[in-house]
Amino acid sequence: MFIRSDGKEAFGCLPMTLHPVSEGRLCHRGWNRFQNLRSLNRLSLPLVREGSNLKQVAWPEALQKTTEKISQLLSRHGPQSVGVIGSPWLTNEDNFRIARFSCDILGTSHLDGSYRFSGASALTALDRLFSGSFGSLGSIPAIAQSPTILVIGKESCRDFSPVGSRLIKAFLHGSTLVLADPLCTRKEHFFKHLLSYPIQNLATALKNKEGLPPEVSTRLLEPGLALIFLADQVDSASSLLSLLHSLSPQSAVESHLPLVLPLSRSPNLKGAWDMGIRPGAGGSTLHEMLGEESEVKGLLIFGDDLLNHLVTSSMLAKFKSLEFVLVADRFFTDTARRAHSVFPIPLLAETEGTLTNSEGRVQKLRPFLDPQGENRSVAHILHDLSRLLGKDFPVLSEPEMRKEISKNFFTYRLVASESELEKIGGILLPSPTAQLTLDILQPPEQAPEGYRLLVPNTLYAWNRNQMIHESPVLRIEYPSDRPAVRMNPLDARELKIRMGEKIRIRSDRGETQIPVELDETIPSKVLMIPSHLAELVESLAGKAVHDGAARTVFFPNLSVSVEKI
Amino acid sequence: MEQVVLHKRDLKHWVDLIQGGSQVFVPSRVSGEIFFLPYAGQLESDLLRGNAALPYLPPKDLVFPQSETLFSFTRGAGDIDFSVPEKPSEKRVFLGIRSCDTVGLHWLDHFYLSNFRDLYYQNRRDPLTLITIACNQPMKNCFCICCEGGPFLHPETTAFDLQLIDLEDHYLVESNSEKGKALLDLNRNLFSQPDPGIVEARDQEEQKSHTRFLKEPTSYMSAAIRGITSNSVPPEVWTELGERCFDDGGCTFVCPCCSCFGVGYTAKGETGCHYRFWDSCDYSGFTREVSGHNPRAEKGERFKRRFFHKLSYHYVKRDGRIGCVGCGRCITACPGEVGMPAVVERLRRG
Amino acid sequence: MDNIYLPHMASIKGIQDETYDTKTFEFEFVERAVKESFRFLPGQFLEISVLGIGEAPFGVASNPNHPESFRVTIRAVGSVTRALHELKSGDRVGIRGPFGNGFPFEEMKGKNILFVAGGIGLPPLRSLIEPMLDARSEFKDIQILYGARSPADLVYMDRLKEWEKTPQIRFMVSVDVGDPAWTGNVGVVTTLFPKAGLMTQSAVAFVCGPPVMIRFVILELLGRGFAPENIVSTLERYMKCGVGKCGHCAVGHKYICLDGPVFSYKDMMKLSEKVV
Repeated sequence: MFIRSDGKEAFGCLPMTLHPVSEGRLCHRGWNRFQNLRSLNRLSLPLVREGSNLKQVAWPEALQKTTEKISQLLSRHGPQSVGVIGSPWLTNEDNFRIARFSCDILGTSHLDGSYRFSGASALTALDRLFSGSFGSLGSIPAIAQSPTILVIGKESCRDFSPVGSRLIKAFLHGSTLVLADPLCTRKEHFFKHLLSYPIQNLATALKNKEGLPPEVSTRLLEPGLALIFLADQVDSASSLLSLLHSLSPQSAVESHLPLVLPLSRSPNLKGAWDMGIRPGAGGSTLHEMLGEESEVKGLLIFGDDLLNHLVTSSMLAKFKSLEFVLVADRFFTDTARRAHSVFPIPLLAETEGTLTNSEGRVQKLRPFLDPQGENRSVAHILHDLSRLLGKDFPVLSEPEMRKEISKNFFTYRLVASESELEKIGGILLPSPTAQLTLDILQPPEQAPEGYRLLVPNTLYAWNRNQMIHESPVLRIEYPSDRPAVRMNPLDARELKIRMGEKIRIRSDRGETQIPVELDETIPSKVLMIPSHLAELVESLAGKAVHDGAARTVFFPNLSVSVEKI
Repeated sequence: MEQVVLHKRDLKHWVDLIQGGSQVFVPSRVSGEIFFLPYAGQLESDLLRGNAALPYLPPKDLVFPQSETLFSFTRGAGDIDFSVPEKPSEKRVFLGIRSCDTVGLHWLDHFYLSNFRDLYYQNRRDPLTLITIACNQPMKNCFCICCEGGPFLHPETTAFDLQLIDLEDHYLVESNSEKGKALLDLNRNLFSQPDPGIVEARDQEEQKSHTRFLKEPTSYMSAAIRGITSNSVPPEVWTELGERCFDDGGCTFVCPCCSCFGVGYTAKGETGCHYRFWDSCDYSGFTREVSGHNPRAEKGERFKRRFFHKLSYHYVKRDGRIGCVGCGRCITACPGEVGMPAVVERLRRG
Repeated sequence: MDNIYLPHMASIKGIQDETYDTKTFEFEFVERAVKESFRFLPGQFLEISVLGIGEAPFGVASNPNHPESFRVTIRAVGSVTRALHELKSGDRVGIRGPFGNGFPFEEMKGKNILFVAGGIGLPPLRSLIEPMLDARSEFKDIQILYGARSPADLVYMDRLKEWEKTPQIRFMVSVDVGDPAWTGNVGVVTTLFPKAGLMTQSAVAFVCGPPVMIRFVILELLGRGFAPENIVSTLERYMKCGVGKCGHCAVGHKYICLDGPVFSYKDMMKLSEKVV
């Protein structure tokens, strides 16, 4: 993508026709990326908490006070009292630095990414399937050649137009497209089949070959399948593993590996994961760090609005009770508001570094603007913090970091070649060679009586995301959600319920009263509460369910009954 | 209209001369893409021939940029100080625009300068002179000939400053405005009077070009225009086409005849600014009101609306011509392969 | 040359609370030259901005015969209106306009006039009612039917009381849902029609209110013999520039900000998109 600037500020952007993925097209986020560069909400100076206020201070004071707090925690409670959070909104090099810093300088194994509840489950599943880093599982241009394509979640094609365009190309060449989405009532004409199952039920149906059109069962098991889904919407590792298990026939021959594309709206989900932003031995995931038994008393959060991602009220409460929080970010987010120290860092548009996209394609960013205000790079911040802690953490350039990355991670061995990175389209990571079949299978879901309540991670959660929120166009395209349950208008009419009216919903784990929002895209006898409305969800679904593989939690689909009040 | 001949070897002299009083913009390649960039002494002459060569974005970008500040303000002790961006002072000459883009720019002129005059557009447009190069050979996606957007401009029916017609080793230069004439006046010695043979060659070239763009004269657009104007296209067709649209907005951003914008506001402390940016009627939020009500909530409705604006006779009357010049950019930019030709084809099929 | 996107500043002269979410603001231009030359037609709108927050269109609700200050009634629903509600007397806002085509006035002389307003539809109609009352003798019967969801949602309570008393106009009010103190008509505004004694000959009806209400009122009026060209209403759309350039308010081949917001029902039916 080209960003255009008049020397002072960026005023536009446009795609590259020669890029293998975009081929001259962008999605609505792409076309409007430059808008958040105009935002005056950027952090320009560090902030330090004094009482109930955050005060702007110069860097030396901010660093001094921050290191004092960190030292206190380390000396009083030991290194495991500090947790570090990396982010899919930082480059590979920055994430790698953060991983090294937490291990070598702080000595803590509590390291995780803000994606623990939105993406980690999918990546855990794929990692286990390929016993380690899985490189690239397929490229977006290759989708156009797949004879059968299974798309999970309608947002996977609607909101990602390079994927959508390959689906159309495949359709025009006679491929069979299948959409699986329990929240969809209508399929587009280029999908031949619509399956209203959530992932778990789909896996069971495929295994038992029941409840599906015969063509679907056969085609999905043939070679050349492409599987596309949104990583954030996979609630548990076992559900994705069950699906992948059911898509590979018993003999698990290599050639039957489907093309798998775990999409994400964040720019570096896979990269952050690959750079090791995960707990070390004995370390906790984000879920565990904010659990009741956690020893973590302080969090250093780099590059993301963490509060946006916490899914239970107990996690929120634990976060608010932490002794020390450092936030290093670009905008004054909700998380920054609650922090004790806030450090401004450059935008991705102001940094050099690499990102790894959902295809496993590593591409280099070319900064076009000088960093604004007094923000400092993550490299400098970590160096300065280390120095004040009495240790050495040298500032290495991005190419030097890439050499380190290429030595440390086998799938990233080509990343040290600057000339390869310069090519349009960057470097596609190698595909994995081995595949293991693993038997962590989800028990089949009970058929719902009455209504089924789904608690997905939806696009409404993105309204508070900084990239979206700071752009006037995207803010309208990702509307904020009212605290309500979404119901099909026909169901509402049957129950004589009007829009906005409160209803009582009961499950075997709890009950709640909640207003209704009418939505024709919701199928009949289905209710939907977006997962980010944590308190509403919890009163109904009780405690979240533990996903042992990904060491996270999620809210399963529930059978519920509905009553007019 | 005046016609003179310029030998190709004299082109650079002329451009250097123009550069003395204006900033010349010429098509230049960066990383394989064509952009209009300030002339820096070199001409990429293969982009200045009769072969169509279009930059990804139309020149509307230079008079109506992807985003621009409307005004910034500072709250003082009692008063509020407004500051509007300065009017660009330099004159600009675009060499190498194609006929589709020229017609598109005049469409925008008609839109922005009539009724309530848009000062920001005017400030950028006034100092601009266009040197169009007529196309003898189409690119893969060109269909200007179906939209009265080219490949040659007609002085009686189309406004233009200068048109250059590629005739092997020289150009026939046609001047159709005061601005155009002024550029010729810089040095009349560079130009010679055309002899009758050349004028005939020009007309033949135009005929040949027409056949290269369109094998047989067919009116592709009129069936679509009729269907849209009479609202006789079945709604299922719009729904189906709408499903192929991914709400990305690409077609509206690359279209020389798309002019919609949104306004953004920022403020911090005592200062802030109001700015505008390209917006797209494809977006679901384009017509969504604060209450949440959206008159065009359905995808098919938005898709239908866009083509109504482009092709219906009501708008032809309002704007002077259809809202498409046949440049083919929407074909490149659309992920769902429902650019103008695909839609017109579908509407013709019924 | 005039910059159509640059606002003139106006300060708030007074704020009146109308309901729990609606306030009437009285504005006065800061610059004397602007204040003295400002004129508007009934039914026109202004683009009012809170600098740095946003801008939105609002119908002028006061008498065009007294343009030295003007009133706008605003309900707090979104970020701009909520920001406006936070302002106090003396604070300043940006004003652009007036824009739009306005209600017909001269052509209404000698006719029977019916106003049907719902909730917050009364403010724009008021800009037409007041000058008509100033020139009362030029019009025949003037009747106002006003409906709101509940007594707490009625605006301009003081003026409504005056309208009830004056012999110059026939005024009736109704609420969808009453309260213990309410003694008037209960029911949607169309329930007033059978009791209203409507003048349907040589008459024009002006209808303003929520889209649902407009639809039902128009059906009633057509049923009682009003011709489509004699039913006048306003169309609303999301607007940004107010001058026909940004494209947001386009309906069919018309722009609400240029060719509207006032349309007769006959013209509405000619638009290529369904509006009512």
